[in-house]
Amino acid sequence: MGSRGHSVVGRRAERLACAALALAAILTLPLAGCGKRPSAKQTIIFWQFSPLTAIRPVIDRFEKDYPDLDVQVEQLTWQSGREKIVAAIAAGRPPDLCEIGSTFLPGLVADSTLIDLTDSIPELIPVLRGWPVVRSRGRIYAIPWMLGTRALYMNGDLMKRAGLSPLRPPTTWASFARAVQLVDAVDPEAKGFGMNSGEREVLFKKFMPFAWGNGGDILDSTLTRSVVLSPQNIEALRFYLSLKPHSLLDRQEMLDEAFSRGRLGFIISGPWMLRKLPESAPHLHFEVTLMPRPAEGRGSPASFAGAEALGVFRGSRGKAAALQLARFLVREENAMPLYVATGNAFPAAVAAEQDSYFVSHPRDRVFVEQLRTAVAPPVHPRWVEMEEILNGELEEAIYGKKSAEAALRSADSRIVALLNPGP
Amino acid sequence: MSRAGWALVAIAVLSIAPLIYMARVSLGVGSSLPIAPSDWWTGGLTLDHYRALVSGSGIGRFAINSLIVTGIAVPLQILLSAAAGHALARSRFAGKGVTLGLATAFLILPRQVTLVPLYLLFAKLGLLDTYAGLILPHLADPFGVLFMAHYYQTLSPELEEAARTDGLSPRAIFWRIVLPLSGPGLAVVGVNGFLTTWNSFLHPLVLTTSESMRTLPVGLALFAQAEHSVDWGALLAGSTLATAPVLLAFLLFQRQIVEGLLQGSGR
Amino acid sequence: MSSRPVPGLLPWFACFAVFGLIPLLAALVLSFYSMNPLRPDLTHWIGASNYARAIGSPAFWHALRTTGIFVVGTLPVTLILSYIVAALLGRLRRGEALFRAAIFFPATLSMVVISLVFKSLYAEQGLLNGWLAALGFPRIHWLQDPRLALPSIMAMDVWASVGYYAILILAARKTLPLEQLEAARLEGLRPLQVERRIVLPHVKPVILFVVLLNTIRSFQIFIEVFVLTRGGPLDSTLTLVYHLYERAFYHFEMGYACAIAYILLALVGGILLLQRRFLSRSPAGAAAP
Repeated sequence: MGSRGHSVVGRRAERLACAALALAAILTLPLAGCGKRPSAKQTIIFWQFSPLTAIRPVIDRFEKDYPDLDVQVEQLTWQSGREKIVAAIAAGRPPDLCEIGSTFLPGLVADSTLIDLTDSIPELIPVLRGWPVVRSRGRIYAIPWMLGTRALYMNGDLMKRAGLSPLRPPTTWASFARAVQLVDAVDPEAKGFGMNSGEREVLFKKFMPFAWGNGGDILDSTLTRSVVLSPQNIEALRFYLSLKPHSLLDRQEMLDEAFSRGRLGFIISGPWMLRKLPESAPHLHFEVTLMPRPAEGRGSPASFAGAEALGVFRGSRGKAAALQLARFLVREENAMPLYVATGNAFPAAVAAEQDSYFVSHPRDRVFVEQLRTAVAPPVHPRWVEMEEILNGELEEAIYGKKSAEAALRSADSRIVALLNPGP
Repeated sequence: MSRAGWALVAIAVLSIAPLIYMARVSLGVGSSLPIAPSDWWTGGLTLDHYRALVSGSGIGRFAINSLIVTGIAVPLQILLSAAAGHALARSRFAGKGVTLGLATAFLILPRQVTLVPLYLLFAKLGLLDTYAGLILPHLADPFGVLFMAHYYQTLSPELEEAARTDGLSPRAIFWRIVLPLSGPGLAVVGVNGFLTTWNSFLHPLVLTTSESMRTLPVGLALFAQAEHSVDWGALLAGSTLATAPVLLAFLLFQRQIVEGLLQGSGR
Repeated sequence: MSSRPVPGLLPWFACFAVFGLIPLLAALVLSFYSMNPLRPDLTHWIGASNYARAIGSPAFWHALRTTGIFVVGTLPVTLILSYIVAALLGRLRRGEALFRAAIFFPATLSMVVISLVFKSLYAEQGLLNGWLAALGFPRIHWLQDPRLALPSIMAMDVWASVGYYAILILAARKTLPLEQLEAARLEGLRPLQVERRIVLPHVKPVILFVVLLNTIRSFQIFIEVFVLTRGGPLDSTLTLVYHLYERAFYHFEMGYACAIAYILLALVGGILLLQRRFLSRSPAGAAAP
């Protein structure tokens, strides 16, 4: 290449680059200001997790009912919603109203990040359920919107092959354990039960229902004392671990998948499976039933209670308008379409129980019923750490590194140390 | 074919196997995974996932956003990297070592801890939810600068010195002599910039708030990943579509990268 | 050589100062504070306590060890494989473009997508186990077994990186003058000798670059762990960046996370300097990253 060639290429490159720079400047600078259109309406910034296609119709109705309010709704991802919320709060620019999962809530409450709503929404107390999830030391920090729980899914085909009837589901630990064993033996390609492992954050949610049903708990009612090392808890964990030899150990989504392929007799899962199974496994005969209780006439068929709640952060500017939107969203007729669309969790509104949808969908109804005996973890300021301790110790027990008693003993002493930090 | 040839075929097959897998799942019926060997042949084929993607997710808008961001950021990144890399390679000045050190430090520091400061900065500058906000951080990326500094070290300065004695200004030398010799290095910077910009996920997710500003990876994640389940068909259909432009860019640039270095050696 | 900063540096440096230096320094400053991102109003200076805490924390050392295993296990494998692939590609007479594109393909995918695809490949009923079962082997729980989870992620990482680095090395190979190769062949050197005496020294600068880049990237491993294992089972995949992510976004200890990040920075920076010293015999003052 000669020097003439260089200069030609060079000049062309120079001109091109200048054009690119100019274009970039034109494109980027004015755009920096857009996004905040001046408007006479008050804008509510609302962050939530449902697909926009599901939430938009509800928001449209709200905007029609409240013509002076304008909602900017944003969908958060399950993978990184947390980072986004945390960054926005740290920058002092939180959304006005935000959907908060019950696992995220205690940390936010502990740091007084959420506004105390106790005196702002007294009229909602009787019409919604799920308050234990959002209440800490008698004060309310968020409004229950959607409630979720888990129930027992049964593979009808495998049960029949094992000589069991899906119409007579196991209701006690003993009959459940027997059913798991029988199903496990009936097909070398199938396992009796799906046991969560490999994702620490859900382990306690799967084990605690057995403990709660057996009268056990994590903290006492005053939330000041650990009751982790109770005979009830030890018995429950021993029972839970006794299922392991007949279980497939995997993450929830893989267990759901294995169940849909007819390779698991029983799993504990949520209502989203009701939407998924008919599509992914049209030939699978399955039933849903309440969790088993320790024995006939003893304990309760407990499950885990989770909630999606609506909270207002400190420093958000339009609290009144945000609460206006929250009141609208939690109404049964506005929350129900969201459940029908996503199938994740159903309305916290008490009235939802009478919704005709649950009459025509008996399987969905099981979850409504299950919720009555579902328990929520304590909203304690140090809950995030307690959860981590429980999950860590449970994982060691599930992987056979510790006995049930040793794991709970260790969890207990670590939680005690958390509750009573030394002098 | 030679033994080496067969080895290469094996490696190539291994490399693109997941593409075939992605394509198979994205064309499959339903939204399940994992696809077992038995499903491979038996399951039906359908374009449903692609149709759903095109009609239901605003993917067109996301693709346009990604194109705008990548289309502006990458050429500028190439240019800035060349200029800065050349400056660092050819001159000695007091802060040079420090600059190189800081640039490297920035590459090492995990993004998780710069996210919150960056968000604060964006809020202060009014860059949240803007194209400028999506583009500017990529221009600061030191990878290209460090690579080009390295590249110019291996390039003989004779030609530039000759031009200087001919009386060309430093600016003219850069545009007329240096840049035309930089093709292969810039191709690497370009492909790398294209990859990181196009696939960038966390920053566009956290630093934008409206649907109309979403880029392709963010839009796809929101479309296909729910709390308890992943719509695998949709996700992999989207990924297949999103990967196509990157592969195309590579096919366009690869001659530059691989074959151009010979001219680049300054002979 | 001119002795003052050339104007060419300025446009990039202006961007870098704002979007690189400010966050970089902010993280450094924060590492000396107790900072809860949810309560920025309570941020207060605590000196070097965050660093002292990290040094005294078993979880930190465990995460460091896991990261170390990951880096030591993947880096040489990736490097050797990349070199071999580049050598094979360099010998190809026909169809090179096609092979190059195929081998480069993994680099075009985002790590999130790669991780999701591998999650399904590694699944108990996934393709990998399907093949094992077809061959009569028992199914393996790749990601559920504490001994296998980390190696499984390492294998995936090698798969994802080899193509990219191979192309970089290939580019350097191509700059080798053909006459030099011919001369070596005429001297009667066998292919392996040519490789060792002529090619290797020639591509050394790029290899150094690949090593440095791969070191940086390997120490940052996060998305793979986030998507596949969340640090489990039994903390077997708890890497340093995943650990600091949990501290920052689950326990809201941003200051502590920043301190861990800066320890990582110091460590990797030190390793890069050592690598440069040992791997490059190029003249001093090289502008290496």
